Amino acid sequence: MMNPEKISPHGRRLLDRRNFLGTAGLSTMGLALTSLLDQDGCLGADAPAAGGVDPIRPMIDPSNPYAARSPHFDVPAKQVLVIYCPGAVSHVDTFDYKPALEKLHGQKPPELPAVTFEGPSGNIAKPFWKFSPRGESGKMVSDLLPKLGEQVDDFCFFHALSTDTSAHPQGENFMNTGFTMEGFPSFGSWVTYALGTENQELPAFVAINDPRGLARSGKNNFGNGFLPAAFQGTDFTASNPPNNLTRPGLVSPEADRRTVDLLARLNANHLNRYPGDANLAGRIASYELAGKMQTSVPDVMDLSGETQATLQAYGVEGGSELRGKYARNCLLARRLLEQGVRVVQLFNGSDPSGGNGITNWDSHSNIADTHAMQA
Amino acid sequence: MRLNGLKLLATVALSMGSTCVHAQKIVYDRDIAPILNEHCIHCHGEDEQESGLRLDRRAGMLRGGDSGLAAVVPGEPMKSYLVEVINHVDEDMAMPPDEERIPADQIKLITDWIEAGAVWPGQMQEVAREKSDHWSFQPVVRPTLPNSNNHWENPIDLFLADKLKEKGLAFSNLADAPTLIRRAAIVLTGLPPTPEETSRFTSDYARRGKQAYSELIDRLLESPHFGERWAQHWLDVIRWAETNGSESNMYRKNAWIYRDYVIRAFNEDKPYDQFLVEQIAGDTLGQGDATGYLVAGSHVPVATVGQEPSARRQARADRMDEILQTVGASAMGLTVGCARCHNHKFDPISIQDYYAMSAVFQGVEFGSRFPELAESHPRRVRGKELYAKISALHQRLAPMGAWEENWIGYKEFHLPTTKTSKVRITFNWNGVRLDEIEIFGPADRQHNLALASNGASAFSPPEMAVVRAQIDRVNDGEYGTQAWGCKAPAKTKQKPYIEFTFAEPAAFNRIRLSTNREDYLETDYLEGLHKFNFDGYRVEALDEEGNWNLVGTSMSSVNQNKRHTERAALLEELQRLIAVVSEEGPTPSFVARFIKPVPTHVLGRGSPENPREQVAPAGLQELDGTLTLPKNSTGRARRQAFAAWLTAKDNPLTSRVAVNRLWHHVFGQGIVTTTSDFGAAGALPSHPALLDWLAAEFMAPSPTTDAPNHDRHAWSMRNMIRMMVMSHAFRQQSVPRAEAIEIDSTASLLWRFPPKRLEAEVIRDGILRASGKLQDKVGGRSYRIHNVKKRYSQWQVINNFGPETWRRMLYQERMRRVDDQIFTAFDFPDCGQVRARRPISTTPLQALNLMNSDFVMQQSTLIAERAQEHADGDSAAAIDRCFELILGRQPTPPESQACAEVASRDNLASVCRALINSNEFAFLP
Repeated sequence: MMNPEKISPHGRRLLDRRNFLGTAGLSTMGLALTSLLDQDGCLGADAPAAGGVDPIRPMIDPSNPYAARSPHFDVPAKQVLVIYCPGAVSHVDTFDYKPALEKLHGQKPPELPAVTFEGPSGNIAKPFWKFSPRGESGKMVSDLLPKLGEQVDDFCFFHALSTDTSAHPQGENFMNTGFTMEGFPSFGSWVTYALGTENQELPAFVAINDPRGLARSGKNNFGNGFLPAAFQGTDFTASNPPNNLTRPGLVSPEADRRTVDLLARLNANHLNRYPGDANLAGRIASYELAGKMQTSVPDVMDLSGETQATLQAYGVEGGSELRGKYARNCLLARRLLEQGVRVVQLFNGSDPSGGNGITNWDSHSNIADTHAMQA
Repeated sequence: MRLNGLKLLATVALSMGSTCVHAQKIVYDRDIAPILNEHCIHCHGEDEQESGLRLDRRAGMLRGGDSGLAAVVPGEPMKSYLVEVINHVDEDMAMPPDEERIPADQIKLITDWIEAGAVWPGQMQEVAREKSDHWSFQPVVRPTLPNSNNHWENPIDLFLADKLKEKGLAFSNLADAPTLIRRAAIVLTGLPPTPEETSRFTSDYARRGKQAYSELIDRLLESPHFGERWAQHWLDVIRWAETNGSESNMYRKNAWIYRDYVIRAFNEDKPYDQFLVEQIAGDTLGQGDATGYLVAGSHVPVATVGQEPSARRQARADRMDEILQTVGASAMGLTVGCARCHNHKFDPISIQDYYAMSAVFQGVEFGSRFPELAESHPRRVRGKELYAKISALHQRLAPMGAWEENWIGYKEFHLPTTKTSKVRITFNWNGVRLDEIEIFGPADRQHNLALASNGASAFSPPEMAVVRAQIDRVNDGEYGTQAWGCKAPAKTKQKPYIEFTFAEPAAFNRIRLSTNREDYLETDYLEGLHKFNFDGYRVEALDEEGNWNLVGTSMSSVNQNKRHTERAALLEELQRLIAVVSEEGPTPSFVARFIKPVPTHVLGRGSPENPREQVAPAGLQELDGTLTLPKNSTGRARRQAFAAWLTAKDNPLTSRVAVNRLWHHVFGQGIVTTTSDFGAAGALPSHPALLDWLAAEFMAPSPTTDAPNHDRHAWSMRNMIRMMVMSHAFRQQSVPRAEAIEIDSTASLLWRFPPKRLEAEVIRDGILRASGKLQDKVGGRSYRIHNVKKRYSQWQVINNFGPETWRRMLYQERMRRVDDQIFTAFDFPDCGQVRARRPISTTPLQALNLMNSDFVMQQSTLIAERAQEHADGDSAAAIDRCFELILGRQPTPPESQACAEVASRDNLASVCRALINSNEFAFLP
């Protein structure tokens, strides 16, 4: 336990129960990083604030915005992987055991408003799968996820988040940015803004969309909001590289090289006229990094070096086409993390418009079948 | 929950009330202080003020804490928050926290003490609020010009030179002519100069120096592209976009007429005060298109909010917040939204101020309307012309019987004028669905005889009713998905029908029918839009003898055309005119819709489920924001009064914020760098006296300054900008100087003109100008790079480089959070939240997009072709021309040679591709 006397008044306010529940998204970053929030979203340091209340800002070198930066606290976690399941997964049918649902099955929910998001509310349903204790901890997990159930002793469960919104897009926004409204930086954007990344040849923050497409809130789930564009998630999957990564089809590699060299020469001449201008140097560096990404991204996307055992473990083959594609995305996520990418966001599900629990976890009336299909 | 709490509190208070009035006189020191000391002062006293609350001073009690609610209202314990929290009305806000309640007899003492006026000897004169001493809330007083450096003519240079001297710095020398024209053209119009303009100016400047420059500035300021450039800045500040954001991110129909208003305002040099007034209350001034400002932010549409009443209240509160953020950030330079849940932490904005401002806009709703346009408005003029033609066609068609017009979102059926008390419409399909049917007569063309609130009633046979599509929806005046359905029983010859009974017999001659007219009014570019879930129909009227007589049918058009040979052609022409007037005339546009204001309450902790005292519309109390308005004033009167307060010359924020923003766009960095936050959490001005001088000059231009021949009207943005770009500070070189960098690395003191990476728009427009493909047309419907989508899917980029897109990027449909796959990477705003200024970041994705996108590849080829044509077979001249077109200068010999190698081994387009990617092209010199 932390000694409360050692926490500043500001820190105590942050930890205050009411404030915590009011602002925490998926991100405890919603808390800690709000203090980094720079309303004007610029890299350059502003003049001191009039009130003498300067927010904590990362020191970012414009010529290398992704350089790794140390955190304010010493923490063991260095990278983030979020497997995000739009729709979403029914907690009471998976990891969040609520025995009272058995008793109340078929009844009208007490204390619920008569009209909810979709209109008049329906009756309570008990879980569609049986729960049983797993692992040494005895954590209750349903039969829907037997394999994950075996691993519970290695998991940390946090069954305490809730939101006031009932709609998919606001819920997605809330999970990924800490706010139901759009236009706020996603957690991956905050993390890379604060910490940079370890591997300078790959994007700092990668969003791997589901093979079926983007989730309902689209780019907002991995957008930079009002932070600089440098910290937006780069989206690609195991089968689709980022936009404009590859040289245009009609240009040969040699011709492309010559154009790049000519550009370097023009920029060098120009830089001579502006000696010491960090912004110009930074832009030259960004072209070099782009060149490296042209090799490093296809390399990381190339799964041909993986062993048969790995491919099998991930389920790349032998299932449906969709499962195979998703398995490849999972493997891509792992490879990105191995390469030192700071944040990977892996989507398991797309926009719900395709139907009841088919394109993502949004199951409505048919949880038994569609959750089984998704799982 | 909350209501229960209040009831409980009322019970508590009442039960005490009976005894308290005649009780023994309460003495603060003896009776109250010990209670507070024991339970409260530890957290709310001199040493610590948890939640910003102090209970050791009477003024602190009156002011309350961060919640914004007065802890004590003398004489009114029921309104005193202190009484509420010690009674544990709301378990989440119960005091003292995590402890037993204060004993009931002590609570009673406190309650009685408040009831008796909260007398605290020695502190009765203290006021709850003192005036802020923060700089930006102090009146603008014109400072005298510094005289230490008086060889500078321009007052701006006098102030800047003074400060530079203080730091041991000085301005740089004047930049050369090609740099000057490139810088000025980009800053003022967003477009680099053509090679011809550059060479003409260069020789003119050599001969006539500053006079030539002054004339160049006048030309640029009078160019229609000036308005385009500066409109972009303004649209950024208010995060304006053409989609709603949120979920399906639907298109906002004709929202772009507001963008054109902003362009026009800059090009007409509309005084800034008028510019603000029109955007807030343009509906009262014949400038209805200006109110697009109010609904610039994103909103969550009804379908996404859902049906839960509390969710709907929350969504409405969120929409109001968007409006306040827009006004706060753009016009006031304050983060008003911070006072939504509690008093502003840094600035003198109370939660009452927030809701008083929200009362000002209580009559505004996100949506469309036909904008009010002055007689001379181009759109109105065009509409008049077209409606005259339509009317002439109507007269020719009338003798040939009834006819139907398709107005895209609804059908309008014209019939011979018939007087009746009842109208029956019988449909040909077995099942129909309509959101609204309207019936009009010749007497008052706007009066809907079928509307329930006009006294009409509707009937259709109960056996044909459709579940959740009840009949009252057909004439409730509400468009959208809440429709009426009617289905004839299977295997019968019956058809769905509906009868309207008018309030009193009336003549009618037009009927409007639609299935979802809300879509027609609000959105566009969706698959399956404007479907009609009905087909043919016949209309009968009841005569005085009680007989139904056929008035017209939509199903006899073919026969009518046979009888009247010219009818088909007339109808075709009519339909064509309808399409034209829908595009060019006054048309429903997403520039806000107005509703009747409901009473506004302070929402405790920002929650609509926690309404507190009612507030009257007002500006900030700190700045004497009380508005003179009658009780129950109309929405427009509120907005007019607020706009007058905002633009009054004694409002210290409005002019300062405006000139600072102009400065920011001219010099790349504001005198106050946080251009939308002039509060205590914002930055201090680097040159306070200069800022105030500019603000004063903006409101009351002095006749003696530069360019006496110019129109000197007050609040002229163009004159302000002119003064800035005429300064030496703007005209000096941008080359770094080592000794100066050491003292002021960001050049915030302007010892050089600070170069910066250009915005997405300037890069894209500049490329198109170099290829000669940029269309010059100002205004109009945006070009699309996206598909026509399904209602619940995401927009997809389908064409971001074809000839249809060769317009200025200002006209690219602004889609919230949608990536255009090229220029979004250049810090193009996602238009989600207010962002005072664009960040400038450098990323490898920018490099990839500018190297490899179809747009750049195609434009490189086009520029190369253009250069080759110009050079007429001379390959060195072709390279020269590429440099001129892209960089506005000739290559040096080594550059020329390096380019010649690439051009000969590969092609000239590769040279252009390299030039487009060069730092020189991407930076403002």
